[in-house]
Amino acid sequence: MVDKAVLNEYLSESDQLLDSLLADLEQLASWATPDLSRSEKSTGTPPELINRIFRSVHSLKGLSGMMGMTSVKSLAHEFENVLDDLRLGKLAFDEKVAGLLRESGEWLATLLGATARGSASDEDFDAFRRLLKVLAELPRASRKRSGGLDSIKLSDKERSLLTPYEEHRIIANVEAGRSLYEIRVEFRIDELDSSFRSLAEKLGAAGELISSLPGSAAQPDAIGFKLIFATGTRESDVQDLARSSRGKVEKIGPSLRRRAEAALKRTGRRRKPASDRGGLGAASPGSTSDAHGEFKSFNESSDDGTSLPDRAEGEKSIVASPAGVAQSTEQEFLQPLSAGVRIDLTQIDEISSLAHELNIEAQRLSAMAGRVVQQPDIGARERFDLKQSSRRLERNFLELEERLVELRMVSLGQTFSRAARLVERLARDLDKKVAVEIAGGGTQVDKMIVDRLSGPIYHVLRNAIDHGVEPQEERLKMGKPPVGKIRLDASLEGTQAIISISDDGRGIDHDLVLRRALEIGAVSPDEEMTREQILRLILRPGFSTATEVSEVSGRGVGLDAVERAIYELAGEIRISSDPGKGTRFELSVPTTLVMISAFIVTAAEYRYAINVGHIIELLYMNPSNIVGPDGKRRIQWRGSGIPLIELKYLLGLGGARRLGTAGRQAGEAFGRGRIGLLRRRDEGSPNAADTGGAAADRIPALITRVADRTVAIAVERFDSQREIIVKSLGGLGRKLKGVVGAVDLEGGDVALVLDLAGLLMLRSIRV
Amino acid sequence: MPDIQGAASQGGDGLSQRKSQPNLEGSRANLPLSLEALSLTLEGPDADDYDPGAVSILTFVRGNRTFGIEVSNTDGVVECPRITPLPIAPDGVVGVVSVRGRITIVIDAAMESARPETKVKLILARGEGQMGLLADQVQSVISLRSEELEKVPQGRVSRRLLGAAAGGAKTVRLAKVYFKYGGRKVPIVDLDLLLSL
Repeated sequence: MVDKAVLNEYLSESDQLLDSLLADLEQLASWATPDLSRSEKSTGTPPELINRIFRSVHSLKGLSGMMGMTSVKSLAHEFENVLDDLRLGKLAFDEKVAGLLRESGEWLATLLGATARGSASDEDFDAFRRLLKVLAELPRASRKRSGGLDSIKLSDKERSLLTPYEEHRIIANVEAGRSLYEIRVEFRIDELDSSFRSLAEKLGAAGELISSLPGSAAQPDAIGFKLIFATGTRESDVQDLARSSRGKVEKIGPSLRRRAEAALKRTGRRRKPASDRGGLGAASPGSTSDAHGEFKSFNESSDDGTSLPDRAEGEKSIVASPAGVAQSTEQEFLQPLSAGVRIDLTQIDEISSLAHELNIEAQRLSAMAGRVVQQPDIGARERFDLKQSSRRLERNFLELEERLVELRMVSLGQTFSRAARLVERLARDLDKKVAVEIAGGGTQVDKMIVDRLSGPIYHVLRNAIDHGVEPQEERLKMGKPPVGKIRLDASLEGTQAIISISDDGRGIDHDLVLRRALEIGAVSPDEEMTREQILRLILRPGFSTATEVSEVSGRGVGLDAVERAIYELAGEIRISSDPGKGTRFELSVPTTLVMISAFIVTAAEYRYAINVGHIIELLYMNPSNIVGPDGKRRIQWRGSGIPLIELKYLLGLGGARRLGTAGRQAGEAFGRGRIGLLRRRDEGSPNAADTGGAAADRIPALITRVADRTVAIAVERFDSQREIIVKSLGGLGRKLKGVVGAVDLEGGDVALVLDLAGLLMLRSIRV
Repeated sequence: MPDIQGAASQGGDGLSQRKSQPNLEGSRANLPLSLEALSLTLEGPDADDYDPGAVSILTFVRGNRTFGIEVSNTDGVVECPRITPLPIAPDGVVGVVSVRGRITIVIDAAMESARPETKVKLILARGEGQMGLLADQVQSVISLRSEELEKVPQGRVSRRLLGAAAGGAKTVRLAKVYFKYGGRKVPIVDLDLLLSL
């Protein structure tokens, strides 16, 4: 059994690897479809890219092995084999392979996640296995390709040192018509790392550094290398590159004749991307694109037929993709595997130094205390020092607390890029062209909130693609750019993080929404509503304007689930839409739920904390204004009757108490002692004096909102408002509904931090 | 072969626990007490009959019944502070307290959901569950060989054996194994089962 902390470390490692793997596979796929805009994509050329993918899968194999996931490990191993063939050029790279690889990557991510959560099913494993089988059974190149190697000047010993991959790369470069150079360099041992890296970076930008073989060194404290470098640039450029490292350059091939042959052959390979894009200077004669036009017809007539025997089939997935089978796990797939966060060393250093300051301050204080004990008649100076010292201590502790809360913050970037990737896949499935733009990925939010945001974000994105962005023909007809744009943006506003998801699609039709709302009875015909209010109707449960249930958004939960999730995070949703131009969803959530502004109230002799973000208003009710029988009490608030529930009853701590003399005098004029609206960062407690001194026989209550409805909750006493640190209830606590955590209060008491919406739902109180 | 058989038959012939009465009462009980340290001192360094298959069990009384818990699953015993009840909690979950700055969920193995009237102790469970078990009296640490532990059978069994039972039709299982102690069957509370309450 793996230690939990270690397991977490592995999971977070896997998380990062999966992220880069999926991004790389996506990029690889974009290489296979050159018609897509390639401008901002691809920082690496395919050999590097394929290598990186290979390494990621290899590491994931190792990690899953260490985590005891043997089934995942063996599939990762098969996946790795396929990638090895690709890397060695045995497997030809094309659109179909790219698609299959991408699916494989998604399966690997899905299965690893599912296994970590213990929800992996045999069918999923079988599906991935089938997919890998398809990949394994693709025809492999069997021809002996040492020809290219023979044209290179290498000693037998050097040749024997080359790995199969390096051999393959030499051949591929020769076939691509590039020249190969041997660069002899030596580096001092103490500077080896940095010198080597800087040269390798320079070479990598101009061509491909294929191998670094051991060489001889003239100086005693140096190590020599023979670098094998392939490039399409001029020899003089290579000389320039090597000069800074005092390297000796020698061209080792291939001969001119070979290069001409290679040029012929190269054009026979489909869509071999030019990896020396952006190299130095002009291309050397015969090295890059000059032969293209001439041999085009030859290319299409000969090679194409054999390399893509089942092209039509290749367009569709051969086996069910995760999008089809594991639709339900998709949302899970968005969730990071690990419950941990990575912490920067600098953060730890800051906290350590803060702790050190605290320690010194505490020592000073205790020394002072020692002096005070010895001389009871202390002077003004000592008294001042004592006060100062204890104040500093307090301040330092507060800062320490804040710093520790900050450790929980992670950036939204990972969630954004995952969501964007899923969206791109979804768009492909729906045959829509969409470009996803991401901004503000660096915005820091509590890890727990980020994890709970991924579902809602993805849901809104899915809606944007399915209902928002029009099919290409429709867009062209309307004079819009053919590729739809979806923008995912995050920013900070005080203690709130604002995540906006906007599209340039068809927008939401207010009239249609209103008609549908009337149909399902969500509104009455005589209700006057603003445009914003009408738009908010789409957040109601069971509301859908989709005339047909589509493959994507029609199933499962609606936007009401999004609204609930955001509400549980003490957040808000804002919607704006311009018919014909697009829709914008704004999710506003607090950056942390750990340190919150809470209002403390008393009910049934215990104190409870309620997130101020969930409270609309605090008020003292006049008992005579309460109408209705027990269990169905109501009060008038802002012009309408709203349900009144006792917190004690909500908590299951006893039945309803008699709230004054209400119930008999229904219809009496309503008046209430309102004590003012609480804003999020208000200081201090409500002042009962505002109510004109009659608070004694009035009942304190708070107004809260569940979905779009308001409800009044009566408590016994208002206590105070304060910033609190919410502590988790641990394993069992996660299952307890209605309570999000607890907070230590003075006197050793514990106050529960309540989730009013959850409590109301638990008591199945319809509001 | 004969060795193994000998060991097995020895296990069958009854109680061979080393028993002792640690002083958990009085002023010392206010201090968090590491039971593991306690059991180590009890065993002593010269415990040359060290048996890797042996488990140390802390026995405690709650609601007139005796329970056991593996010492390695515990993190000390404290006086139980005032409990804040949880609004809607499963049977056996009494509420929460704060112990050493850590919010701890209080569990009553006797499946009472009401808060105890009298002063009680709280046995802290180790791990991330943040749980504590109520105890009227913490008794002793005993060492048991694994063959002295018996599986709690599936299906209908007496409440005493399960460790706990809730009212009505739903029966709650708190123990996977039990042992016989002074003619009585003592269930050993299982942390995983507590977590799935």
